[in-house]
Amino acid sequence: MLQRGSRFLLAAMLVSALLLSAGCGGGQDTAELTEIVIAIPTDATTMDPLVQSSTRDGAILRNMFDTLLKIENDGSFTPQLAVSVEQESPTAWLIELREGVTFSNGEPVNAEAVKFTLDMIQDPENKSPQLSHYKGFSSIEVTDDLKLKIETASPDSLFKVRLANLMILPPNYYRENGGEHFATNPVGSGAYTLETWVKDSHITMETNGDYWQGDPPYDVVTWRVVPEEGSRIADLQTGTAQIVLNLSPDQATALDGTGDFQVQAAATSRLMTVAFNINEWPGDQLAFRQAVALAIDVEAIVEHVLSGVGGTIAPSVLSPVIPNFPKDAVDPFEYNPERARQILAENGLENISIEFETTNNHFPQDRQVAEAIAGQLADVGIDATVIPLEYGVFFQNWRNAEESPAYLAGHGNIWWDPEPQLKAFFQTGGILSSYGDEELDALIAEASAKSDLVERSAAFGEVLQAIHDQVAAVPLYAVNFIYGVSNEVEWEPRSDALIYVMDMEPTSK
Amino acid sequence: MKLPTRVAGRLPSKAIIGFAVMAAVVVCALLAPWLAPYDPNDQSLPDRLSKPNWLVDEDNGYFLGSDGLGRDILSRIIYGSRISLTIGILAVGLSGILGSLLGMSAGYFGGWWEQLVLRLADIILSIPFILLAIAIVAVLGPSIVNLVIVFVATRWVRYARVAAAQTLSVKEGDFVAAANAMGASPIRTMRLHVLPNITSALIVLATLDFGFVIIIESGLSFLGLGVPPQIPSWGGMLADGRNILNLAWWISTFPGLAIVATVTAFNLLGDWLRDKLDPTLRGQG
Amino acid sequence: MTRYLVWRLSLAVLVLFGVSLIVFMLLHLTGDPTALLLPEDTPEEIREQFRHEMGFDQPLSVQYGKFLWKALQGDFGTSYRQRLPAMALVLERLPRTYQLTFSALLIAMIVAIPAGVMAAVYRNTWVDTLTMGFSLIGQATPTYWMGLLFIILFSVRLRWFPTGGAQGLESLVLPATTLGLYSMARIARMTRSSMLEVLRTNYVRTARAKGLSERVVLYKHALRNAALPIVTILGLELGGLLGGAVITEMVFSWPGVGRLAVNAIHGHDYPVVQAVVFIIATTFVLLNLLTDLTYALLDPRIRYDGKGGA
Repeated sequence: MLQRGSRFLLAAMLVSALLLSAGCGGGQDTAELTEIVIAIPTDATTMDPLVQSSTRDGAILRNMFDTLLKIENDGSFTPQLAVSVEQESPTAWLIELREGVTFSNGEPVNAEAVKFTLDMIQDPENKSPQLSHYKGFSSIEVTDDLKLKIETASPDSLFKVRLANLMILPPNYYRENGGEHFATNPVGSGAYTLETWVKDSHITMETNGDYWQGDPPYDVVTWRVVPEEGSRIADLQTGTAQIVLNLSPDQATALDGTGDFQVQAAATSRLMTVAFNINEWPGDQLAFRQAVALAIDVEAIVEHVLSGVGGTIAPSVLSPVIPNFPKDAVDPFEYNPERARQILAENGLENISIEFETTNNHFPQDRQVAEAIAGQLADVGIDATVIPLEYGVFFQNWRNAEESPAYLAGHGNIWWDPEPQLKAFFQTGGILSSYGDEELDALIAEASAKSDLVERSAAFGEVLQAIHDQVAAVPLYAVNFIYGVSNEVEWEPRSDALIYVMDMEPTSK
Repeated sequence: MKLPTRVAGRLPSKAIIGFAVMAAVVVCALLAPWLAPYDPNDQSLPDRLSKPNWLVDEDNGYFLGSDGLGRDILSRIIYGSRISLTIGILAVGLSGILGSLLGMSAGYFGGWWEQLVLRLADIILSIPFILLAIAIVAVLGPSIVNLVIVFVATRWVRYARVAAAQTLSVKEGDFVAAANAMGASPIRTMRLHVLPNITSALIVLATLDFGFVIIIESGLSFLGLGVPPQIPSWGGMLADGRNILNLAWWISTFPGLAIVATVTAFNLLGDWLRDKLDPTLRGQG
Repeated sequence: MTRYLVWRLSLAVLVLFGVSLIVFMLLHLTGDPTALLLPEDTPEEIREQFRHEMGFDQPLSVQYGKFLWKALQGDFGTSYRQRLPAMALVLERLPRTYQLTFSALLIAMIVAIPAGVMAAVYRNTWVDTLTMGFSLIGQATPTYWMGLLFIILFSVRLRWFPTGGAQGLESLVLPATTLGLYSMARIARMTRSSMLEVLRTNYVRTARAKGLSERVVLYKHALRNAALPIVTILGLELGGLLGGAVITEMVFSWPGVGRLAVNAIHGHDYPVVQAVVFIIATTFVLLNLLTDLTYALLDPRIRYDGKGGA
């Protein structure tokens, strides 16, 4: 790993040496700055990694702050600030950091900085939304300038993922200036530094000049805040922005192929399901759940309501983008409204009325999908009234298992592993679970205990099958984020919706 | 060129237009099941975003096109009139009644009650309506009842102010003094003497308010806080189509036209009533 | 006069207090405020801990009391999402909203007043009908609908103006015009009826009889007298525009307080909502006060609050 990094560095140095010499000899004036403009729908809330909790903020901040590791699309880890992460025992890990990296203000990136960052997160007074993710680190010990030993309260199969989400803060600067100052004047070790932030308008970043990974592909990155989709599309069409985020399916299909840009849909780990609340009749009736599963025509929904690009059909509740687990080993539910009607009739559930809760514009196309589903349920005799709820209210119901018997919910999973998702949403008493079954609980517990990837994968395969058999939820599709990317840029969107400008490349003209 | 200001007898043309459109809306609302070609909630996913019939060669059965779920726009507009009228009538009616009662009593009894009512009015007027509406609907959830509550809670103020002002001026008059001298109860006095005098102003206000209510309902739908999705509402349809105006302009345009037409009609009627009933109010709004 | 002023000012303070109370109650009736502040999968105890740190677990009266005490000292708390002082966030964006509203009023006046005058002068001709027709429709059109149509037409199709944002004067044109439409309509009608009344008076007939040119009669004599009612509703119009700015800012991505407020409400960022409402309410109150004072000064026959419905 070290070799790769230093080879890169060497190459970068050679290239810059060549460029510099070319510049000196040529007698040119200042070289033109290369810029990329990315249009985003909402402004960042803060520049301080300590207090951010949204993917949007995360995507922007990753370009100014480095994490210890980086996850690639296939689930493998590449070193960032940490060049080696070794597991000494089931609950102890040794981390060695990269040499010679500094923050943009000159402070060194060392073990002290990592410990500082973790301490800040773990301190409840700082109200960091990430506290729950790092609470399991029971001890953080600096063993050398660039070495750390971290112990976890219990064996943690998600340890490396946590490191991949940990953006490192500069201790001296943060202590001297405080969080409030940091929120608008961040200092990180990433490829870019913050140049200006005009609230609700744009964020401009410039290259650090001295990035350990090499020269970033663009000198200047501007994140333009453009809430209206029509305006973002116009920006793409006029070349005002090279990358635009959050296109809706209909617009995306109409846009495709109409100009010097590509429309790229990337499946995410967010899995939309029809979930059931077994505390509300008829959610507790297996027959009802089976009928609902058979009544829904997921293909039609994805093809029409999502124009084929807004979602990726998922046979199980684990998103197709999560590597290494058998999420497609389960057979999807078939679309069979006749059989659905039959099952309902056989079980005295004809012509029932239910409420069908959904979020309102929180997940892409949530309301429309809910309405489409309600229409399909009506075809089999279930009169479903769609109730769009403001997210705060929906969330409260979610946490307290007080939703309608069936509801539309998006399962999130930032861990690249089934355990947190299945526990949260399907375990009896899980944080956001409105389901519960002893057998399923046992399967989940068993699978979670496995640390060998092959065994773990097989065990979770059984869990997914059980979820299917019990119809604990009806998996629909993985949400696709749709991007518009100019032909001047070569870039593939990630399934975790993070945006690393370092991974972009200007296409040769 | 002078336009005919009077047509068909003694009614000015603006009143005729107003009545005609209003009648059309009422007819739509009452006879929706018979007038609408389809059930407004009938989905047909493969036929979504179909253009209006007269723009395509083949007859696709959608006179004004279909929306994102394949529902017929024309049918939804016809049924949507129910929502607009219902919310309009309830909102205007209830806020009018509440406002008049509070205003009349404030003007009549004076003292601390009057202060209380008028200060409350000031407070409500000082909060930008839209923010209050968003907050209330965010709390209570989107439904017809809650929308009406939002309107009543904020619009009663206008009626109250008018009622209070008029009550005061009437109070100074002789009727009331005489009635009181004869021992009439305040309620009776208010009903017999104050009420008839303020009615015309209130009616004018109500007619104009109707339009306002319809527009605001559509604005709230635009922000995602309007009527629940399965109930077709013009505002909701506007909101549904706003993201794809460039792809399927008919989804937002026709309901928008319906709103403009209806509100214009009510404004015309309101103008006419004002001219007829109380010329001193001319120049207001 | 001073007694009236003092009376109105103390009422204003009372009003602001009432506003903050109502907003506070509304906000705290919504769902869990931590819903949007913490990741979904945060375990319950940590969520409770967070709520405790943020002070959400104290009784509402205590929370309100603390808020009020600090507000009186000018501290409106810290934004939950951005961890920055709420009032500062509002004040940064306030100039933008004022810019938008004033421009809207300006545009409205520039178009509406001459239009109203023309309609009055040529009453009952096609000029009158056309102008009044437009103004009627203008008052019946939902602002955001017009805004969206403007964007499609002028930004996307014709590329004359940017689709949103606030860079330079060109990006002000569409939002200000859209926002001003409603006011334009109202001011035009107001101008027309006011002019009509003045044109009928002896004053004007005398001016005409003196042989002055029609132009002079109109602008030097008639309009100046007709101006009084127009001026007095300007304050109210400005207030209405502030409210309308919320939706316009959303449609045109204008970085003002309206957008801040809507996002804050959706994001349960109470301190920011309180701060925005306070600022806007204060503006309203001051505008009302100014309007009333102007009215009182200019028209000694002032009736008690009797401006009618408006």
